[in-house]
Amino acid sequence: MLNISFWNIVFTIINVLVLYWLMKKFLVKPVMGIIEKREQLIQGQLSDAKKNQEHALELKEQYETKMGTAEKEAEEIVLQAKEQALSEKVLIMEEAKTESDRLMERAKKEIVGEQDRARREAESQIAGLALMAARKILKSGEINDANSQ
Amino acid sequence: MDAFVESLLEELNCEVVFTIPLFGGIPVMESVVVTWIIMAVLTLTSIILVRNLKVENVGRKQLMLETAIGGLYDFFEGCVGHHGRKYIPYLITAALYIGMANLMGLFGFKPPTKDLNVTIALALISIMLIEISGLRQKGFKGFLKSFAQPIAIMLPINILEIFIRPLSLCMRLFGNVLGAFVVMELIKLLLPAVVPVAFSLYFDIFDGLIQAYVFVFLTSLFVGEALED
Repeated sequence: MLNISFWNIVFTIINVLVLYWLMKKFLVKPVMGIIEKREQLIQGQLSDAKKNQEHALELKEQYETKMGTAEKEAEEIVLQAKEQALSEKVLIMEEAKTESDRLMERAKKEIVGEQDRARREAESQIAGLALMAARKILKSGEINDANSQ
Repeated sequence: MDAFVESLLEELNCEVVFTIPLFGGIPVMESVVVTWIIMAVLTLTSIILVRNLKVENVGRKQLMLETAIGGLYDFFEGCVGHHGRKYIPYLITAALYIGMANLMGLFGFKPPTKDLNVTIALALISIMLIEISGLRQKGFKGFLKSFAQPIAIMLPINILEIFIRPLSLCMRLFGNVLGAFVVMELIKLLLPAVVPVAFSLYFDIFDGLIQAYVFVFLTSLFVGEALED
């Protein structure tokens, strides 16, 4: 119990140092290694998640600005289309008016021409008729003259 | 009564198990043999427990192992600080070894810590660890200077501490284990039935683990102190 033995101390020191080596190799290193690995994994996942979130926010901002410009563009396009339609409408109306005017003019001219022709025809026919009537009168007068003679 | 004293002394004596026929015979004591058994048990248990550890989807066994070793690691890291990390595996080893040694009585072995030589050896390793850690941290000059801190008049006390610290470590552990053992034997002699169970819980298990804790805790505190600037 109380007798101090040099060899016993030496053996115990060697034993404890060997046990230290064994424990370090078989217990502390593997377990702490696993814990460290897990910590690294979690840290990596956290930073990944952060990166992803940042990326998503960036994308969202991009889309939002894009959406804004697209909306403005659409508005502009609609406005432009409306203006164009309006000018086209005016143009078409004008064209239609000139066309109709032209048609009216032509119709009027034609009517006048027709009237002229009809009158001329009628005149010529009347002249013919008058000529014929005169001839007839003349002929019957000759006959009468002859008869009376 | 004489028979009791004799049996008690027989229990307390550390027998020579066998002798190595070298240098005129090297005696191998019982405590050394029990230490070998403890080493084998601890190493085999570690190898079995450490098999197929996983990073993800850990089982309950691994969770308990990680809690125990990680807890010890964090506890010692708190004592020795960041610089003392490389000494933590030794402190864990010492805690496991002394704890196991104090509990060996439950399995019918003589606890190695009941042998003064074992506690002397442990204390020697501890003081070596403390001084070497200080030497490595501060360099030779800083190490010598640290003896005159905080003031020069502390020099003799600081030098005495080199001897007092291992002595107190060794005697505390040895005395507690021995005292617990003697008290338990006396209780068993007086009241052989039922009562010793309650006392055995305290003296064999609780006291043994507390002494292991105190030993490594003090060692880690001294190491932390030696590492401090």
